[in-house]
Amino acid sequence: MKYFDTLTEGVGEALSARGVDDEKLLYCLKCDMNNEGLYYDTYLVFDSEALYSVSGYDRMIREKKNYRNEFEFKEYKEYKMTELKELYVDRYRHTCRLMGKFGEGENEEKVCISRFSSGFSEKTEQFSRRYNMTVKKEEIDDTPLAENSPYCPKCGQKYPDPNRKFCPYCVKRSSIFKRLLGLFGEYKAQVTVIFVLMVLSALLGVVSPYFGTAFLYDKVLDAAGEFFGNVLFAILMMAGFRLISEVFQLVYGVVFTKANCKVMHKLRTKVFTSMERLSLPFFTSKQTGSLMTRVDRDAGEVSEIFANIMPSFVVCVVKLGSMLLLMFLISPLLAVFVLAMTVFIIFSEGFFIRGQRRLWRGINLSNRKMNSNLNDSVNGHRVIKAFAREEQEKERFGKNVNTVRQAEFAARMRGSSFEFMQNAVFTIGGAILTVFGYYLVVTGQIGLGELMLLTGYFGMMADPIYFLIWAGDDVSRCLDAASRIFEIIDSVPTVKPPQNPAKIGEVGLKGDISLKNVSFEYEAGVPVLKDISLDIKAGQFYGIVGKTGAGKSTIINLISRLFDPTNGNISIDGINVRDIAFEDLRKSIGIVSQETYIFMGTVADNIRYARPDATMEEVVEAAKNANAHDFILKLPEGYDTTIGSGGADLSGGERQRISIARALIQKPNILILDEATASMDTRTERKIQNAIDNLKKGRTVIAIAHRLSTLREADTLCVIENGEVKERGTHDELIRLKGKYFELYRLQAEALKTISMD
Amino acid sequence: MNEYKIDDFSIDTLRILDVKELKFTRRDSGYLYLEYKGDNYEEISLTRLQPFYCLDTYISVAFRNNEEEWIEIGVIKDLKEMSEEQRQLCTEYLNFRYYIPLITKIHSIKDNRMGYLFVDAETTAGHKKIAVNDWWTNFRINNSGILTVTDSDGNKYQIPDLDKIDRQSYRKLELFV
Repeated sequence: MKYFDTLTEGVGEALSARGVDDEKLLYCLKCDMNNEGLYYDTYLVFDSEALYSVSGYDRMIREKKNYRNEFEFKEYKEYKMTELKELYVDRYRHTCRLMGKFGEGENEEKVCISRFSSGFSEKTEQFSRRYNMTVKKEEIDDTPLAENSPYCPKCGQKYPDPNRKFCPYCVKRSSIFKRLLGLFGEYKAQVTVIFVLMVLSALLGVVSPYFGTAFLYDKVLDAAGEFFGNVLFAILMMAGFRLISEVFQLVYGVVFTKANCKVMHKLRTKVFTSMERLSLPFFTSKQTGSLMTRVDRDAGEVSEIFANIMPSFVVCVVKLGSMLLLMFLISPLLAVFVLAMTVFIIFSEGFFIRGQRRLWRGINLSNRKMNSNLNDSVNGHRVIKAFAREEQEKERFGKNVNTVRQAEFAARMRGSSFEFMQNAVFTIGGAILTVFGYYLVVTGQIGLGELMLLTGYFGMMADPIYFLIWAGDDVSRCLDAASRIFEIIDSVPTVKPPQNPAKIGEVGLKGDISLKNVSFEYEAGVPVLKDISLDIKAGQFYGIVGKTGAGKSTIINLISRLFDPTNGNISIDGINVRDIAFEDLRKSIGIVSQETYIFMGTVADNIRYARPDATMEEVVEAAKNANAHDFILKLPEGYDTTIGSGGADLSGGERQRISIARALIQKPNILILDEATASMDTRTERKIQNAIDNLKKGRTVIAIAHRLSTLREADTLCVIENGEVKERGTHDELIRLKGKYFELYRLQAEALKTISMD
Repeated sequence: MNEYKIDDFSIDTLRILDVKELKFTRRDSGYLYLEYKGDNYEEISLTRLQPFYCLDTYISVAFRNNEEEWIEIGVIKDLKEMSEEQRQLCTEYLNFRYYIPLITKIHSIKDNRMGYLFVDAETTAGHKKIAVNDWWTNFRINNSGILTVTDSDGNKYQIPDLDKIDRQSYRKLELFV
């Protein structure tokens, strides 16, 4: 029993105690609520004879480092398959019920079997479907389930997000850091050089003040000193050490910048390539902005860890360590005092950080709200002006700006006060250190120069301490950015290319399309297509009709394998689409969808997007066929006019015509038109219709249209409603049937009549 | 079953129902049944037009036709105008339909866990660890201070009034709202 949930030991025992053979169980489902809406664990399982329900509470008992599952049994129910005829899901706003139908006809009775949170609805639908198929003794295909397991293969825990195959329990931060370091794998020599130079530079930076203080005062200026009178030597040593430190810094900076730029370039390219490899559901489940952020900002933040955080970290640790060591060598007493001061500063800073982080988050939040408002106002300026709501928008924006101001003010005020406190602590600490130090000098325990070196080191410690305190936040931010990047790199496409693709000849696919018992849902538990079967013959003009949201475009998405069906199979020329290489499939299918996208580039480039090797004659021919040639010539640079983002503006109809030309130039055997002429005026639509009619010869054409007149000539029409096929036949047959199609056709004809009467 | 013929070209208007004519009955299955002005409707659905602001007023009444479509019969303006028994029946149905676990206390919020946020909370349904992906999108607060949290499975939880939650829980939450 592989699906859907794991039967725990306690539940298994409860079932065995009631004579249920767990070897014969087919599927297991866990629901999470009782009828009162309290969390309650109900396990539902079935074999070929009955459905069994065991309820109680799952508890995780901690035993040393591991957890053990314990089940507190409460209730057992059994429903014979001969009585429980069907299961279905009854949906409410945030919860659902699994309902069972008992008896038939007049005696049919509906009973609630279990209740659960809406997040469980997808698997409950799948469970119900399998139960119903078992009742009807139908064959069950679990292949799609195997590909979409919601459990982490490593730890067996459920992924927090079923659409994101990422297990935060298994991935440790240290492993992400190691992986990041791995990016520098091929630059081992450079990394070694950088590290050595960094350490040396930091050490020289610490040693250099020694020559300006302890060495100068106690060994050069003191008559008893070994280098008495050698002032120039002291100055040269000080400057020399400083200079060498700076040169090391310069060298490792250059070597590092080169390596870092290359690594970042590689990372950005890798993220983008991985993104392009992924299937459409990945893009539809994420906001475009968040994906763009991953390529742009997240990669930049990852670069920050190498460019700033790591080098500074190494330098700070070496500096602090060596300074403390030298302090202990000079005067253990003063060193202990400095250490105590350092601990005090770290604790007080820790206290400050907690509050300050909250205030910064406040700034961040208010800024995001203000930007959303700004975005709204700029993009919606036409509507704002049309309804004369400028004042209202001004007021709304004013409020948001004020929130930002308040948040910034609070954070900066607190920051400034704390900065003053910090400086005061350092000044007072420095003063105590100096007074105490002078006492030691006077009593001859340390030299004057040594005291000056100590006070100098005390001043130099401030920056590394603050850096190390704040570094945690930066590292955390960078590692999160890295985890998001690795998520894309590691993502597996949900629509997978076939391992052994079927051989398709040069001619491509002919276009015999068959959909067999196809079901599909974009959102868990919300079926868009329900058990659809269609047969489209090669060379046929097949029209799909239905209301908005009926599932028409989904059929097309599934045929062209932008998504894979949740259930059922689709084949073209008798080959399962899952076995056809993407290249062969997409080469044979040309799509003109209702959403047209124009890429940044010239008109000609946009038309030859799918076939970059198309000649100029072919481009013009396709544009002419799509009735786009005339408007293209009116553009300032004709076919060389830059369109798309930042280019010339095109109307909806013009964009659609370019999109048609783009599909036509591909000369596909299967042409799919999804509301291809929706944004055009009637005259242009007629012209394009003629062009499409010409192209139909020898091609399979699948067309979706709201204007039924455009589909009149279709060899077969199919009416889809609520994800189900309601009617199919030719225009005349469907009119005679006087069903859904007739109703739609009558409505459109009536509407036209009304217009002509006007 | 009433087929509810509608004139294809008529303008759809707000139809306020005469509450005195409404007679709801609840089946054992939990579904509502309605008799209204001589017509009988199986499987009735009640929907709050403003589920956040008006819990007892403006309730849409719809039935499921043979095509499995929900067709609105009309709108009840105020449940208070109904008889006590009928009002209670509708309220119970609506409470069931809109049931959502309410967060009563937040023990901890662990942020930045590889893009997830883990909220350890007490809810009216019991203790729950809520995994939230992309908190900016999934922590939604409306103008009345109602916070809705959507977890990565799509389940929703609510804090009906942010000002009334205990101070410690609020301190943990305020970084995200």
